[in-house]
Amino acid sequence: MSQQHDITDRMRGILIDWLVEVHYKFELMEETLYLTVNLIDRFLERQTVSRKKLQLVGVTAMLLACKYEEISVPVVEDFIVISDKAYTRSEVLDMEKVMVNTLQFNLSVPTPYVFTKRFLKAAQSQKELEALAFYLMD
Amino acid sequence: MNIKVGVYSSGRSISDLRLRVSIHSSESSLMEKYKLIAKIKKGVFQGLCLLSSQTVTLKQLGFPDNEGVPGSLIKEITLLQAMRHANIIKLIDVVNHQEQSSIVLVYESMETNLTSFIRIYPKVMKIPRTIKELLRQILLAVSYYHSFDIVHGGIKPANTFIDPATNTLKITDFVWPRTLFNSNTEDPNEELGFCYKAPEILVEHKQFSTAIDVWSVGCIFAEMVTQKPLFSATSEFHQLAKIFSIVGTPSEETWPGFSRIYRYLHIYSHCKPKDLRKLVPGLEPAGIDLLHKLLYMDPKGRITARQALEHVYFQN
Repeated sequence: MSQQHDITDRMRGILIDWLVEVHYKFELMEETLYLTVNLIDRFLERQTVSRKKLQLVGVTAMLLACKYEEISVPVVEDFIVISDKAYTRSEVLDMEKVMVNTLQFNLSVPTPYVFTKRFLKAAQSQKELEALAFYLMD
Repeated sequence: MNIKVGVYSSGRSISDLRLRVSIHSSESSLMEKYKLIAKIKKGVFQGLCLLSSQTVTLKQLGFPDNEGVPGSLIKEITLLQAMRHANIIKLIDVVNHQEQSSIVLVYESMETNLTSFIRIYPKVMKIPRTIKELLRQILLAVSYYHSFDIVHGGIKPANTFIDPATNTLKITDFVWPRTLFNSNTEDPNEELGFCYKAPEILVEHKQFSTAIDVWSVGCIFAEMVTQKPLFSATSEFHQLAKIFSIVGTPSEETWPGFSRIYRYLHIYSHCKPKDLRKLVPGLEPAGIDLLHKLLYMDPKGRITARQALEHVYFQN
């Protein structure tokens, strides 16, 4: 975040809080959310983004994460509606191109979710412990 | 910053601060990096990399709808970038035009595929050692990506490339994400891919496992020896009958539960397995045994690529 002069950590936090809600509304898989956050962070490391475009980065990252992880993918229109038509279809699709180019199509990343899941499996944990672990991780 | 909240989401007001800094695009133009030399077929070109003066294959893929980069393509590119193996064609670059709705994949270039290799060098292909070496390389590639639980789904001589100078073999075209959901992308002029399809995907498309690639390798193995396809039917519909006529119609003993998977089994006449030694003449007994195991009807009983590499056929 250090090289961003228009956005702050707090804004990233707000964006991610909102994306958690979107993720819940769309009934997506857990893994998609972690990948979305990973894509946003890696994108912000490499690109300077204006405040106005931050939400666009968020929805586009989620769109990409869905395309990678989900079996049934929400359409672009869903993401436009969820952000109250703040951006147009071509803006989302253009951002998608910028994002895949910036990240060089490297979407296969280990997220905290995969590790936690593996550790819990290895520990043969109970449901309660699992819930606690995932809560702490969030 | 202002998060615009749509109807799906509960309302949340956030302080509205706006400033404008544009996003810098990191893309580079295709023409700056590559020079097109020749068109190979629709959407596939031969080119020259201007930086490394290396010949490359450029493959242009369009996006069918207005939904941006298709998810299947994202998965495919991500996987290809992770693949690092001497017997798998390397994806060198991905060029994503900002103004066009298509992506260009840049692969290392190989000129001769197995189909033309057999045609151009029939004498070389008659040498048992050549066949053994090529088969070993196919199996190395297949067992490599099977170790990642990746299924190729479309191995055939047309996408198996060979460098005639070194006899190095490389596999390309991981088609599974595309053909699984969208089978009409196949070029009608291309050779008939279904000749190499395993019986379980001919009866039901859900039966997708690493074993289907092993079957295709078996078909290629036989083809390398006889220099013609083993199961050459005229259509996908006749393919299954062709397979049954050679390997035998499955029964409860050879493929438990098959009659439940495939309701139309009773249509096919009962065939006994033919003698592969007669169909694939000139192959040593160990090779025949391996071919039997690669072309085992029940995918659960079929040999894996890794096991095949340890087969006696490769011992000497």
